[in-house]
Amino acid sequence: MNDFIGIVDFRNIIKAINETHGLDLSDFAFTSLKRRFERLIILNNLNSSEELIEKIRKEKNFFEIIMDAILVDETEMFRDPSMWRELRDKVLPLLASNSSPKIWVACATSGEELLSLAIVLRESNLDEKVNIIVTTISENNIYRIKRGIYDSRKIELYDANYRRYNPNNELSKYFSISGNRMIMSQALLQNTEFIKHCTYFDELPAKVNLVLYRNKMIYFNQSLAGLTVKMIDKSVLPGGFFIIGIKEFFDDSGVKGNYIPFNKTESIYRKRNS
Amino acid sequence: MIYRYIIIGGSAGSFQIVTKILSALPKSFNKTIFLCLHRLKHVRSGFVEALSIKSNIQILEPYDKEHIKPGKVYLAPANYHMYFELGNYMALSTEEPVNHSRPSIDLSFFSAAFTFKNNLIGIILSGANKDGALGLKNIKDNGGLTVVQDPAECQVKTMTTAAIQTTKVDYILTSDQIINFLLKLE
Repeated sequence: MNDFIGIVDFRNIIKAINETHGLDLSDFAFTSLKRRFERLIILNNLNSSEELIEKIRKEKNFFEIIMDAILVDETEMFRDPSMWRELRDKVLPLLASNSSPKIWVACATSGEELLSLAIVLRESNLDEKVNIIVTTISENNIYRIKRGIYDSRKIELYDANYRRYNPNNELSKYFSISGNRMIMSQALLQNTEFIKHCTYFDELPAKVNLVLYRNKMIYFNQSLAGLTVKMIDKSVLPGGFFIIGIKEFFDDSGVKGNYIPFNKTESIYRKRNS
Repeated sequence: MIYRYIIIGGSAGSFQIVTKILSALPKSFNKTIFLCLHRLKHVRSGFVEALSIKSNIQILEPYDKEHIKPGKVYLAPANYHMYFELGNYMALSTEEPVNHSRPSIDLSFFSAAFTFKNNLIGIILSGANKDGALGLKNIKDNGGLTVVQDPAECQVKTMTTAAIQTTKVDYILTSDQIINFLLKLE
């Protein structure tokens, strides 16, 4: 399953997607994107990268399937519980002093970060006060996130994470189960605005007090990662927070100087006031 | 053949072996070692520290896009897959677990095989599932050298047995023999 695609094939697939749909993936991280192409080949019962390219060029509606394959990376609810505790105990009290605070979940894929955030806000009695803005690259993905349906086999993991975040409560308050589906409560997202938006190229038409951008740069090469951080930085208010993945670097694009580490272990950065 | 990179995969029963190997290698050891060991996904800290107690070589949990240097040991961080990119830097990923594992040994081995080809040695140690078997085969197919810890010595032999069944491995060695083998590479 690993040797379908060499470097030349990889470039040809990217070229086909770009020529057919105007989406340039050439600045995505090589190994994870190669793996997703390989999965596309397997899941669609194709035999080679040539067949994948042919399908990309001939079947216009195959694009949504490509987008889904590229977007659906696995996060998990309450990944890094200690980050969520820090957010609840240290960051939100500061954020709440603003009159109408906004939080941006940038480049959302599976919706699990968003739902974790929504639960944290509710349990902090801030769900009425704080507006969440979620951006994602495809309409399909907005639909999927809004539906809030996950595989019930994930409940055990989500619940274990959640208990490390809050040992006094149960995640089951926030979902129902139907067959093998875990259905998240729609009420969690009542104060959430969805925007189809490409973090790579567009500035967000809003200023925010906090941005969650965890484990997104790992899917980009250095130059695209830096570009997205620069773009996001424009929307973060002075004194606002920028949270990245615990194994991600703030880039060297000049943005780093605008921030001071608020909690380095959890990769929480705070924007300087001037 | 010049072997510059060594990737080691292990699970249950491998911690002691890895510690033993690292304590036997000199500070001057100039190959790069990657460790992909199954570990508790929610315990982020302590593992590097525990491995470092007896190691003469610096052990790092790499950041995404961190440059790969010779003479270092890189341990796959909890709850990430660890990849190696052309241009000699690391990449991390939160893609779905493979073989119920993240980090997955197979994925790290696939990536190392693709990137390092015949400059790579792959080693499978004691472990309780079959993760790593396909990865080791891929290393062999890409011209790398393959080593498996002797199942007779393993605390849990599922992983090493699976690797031996999947690949015609180059060497089956006890932990002492693995150490001697690595020392001779110098």
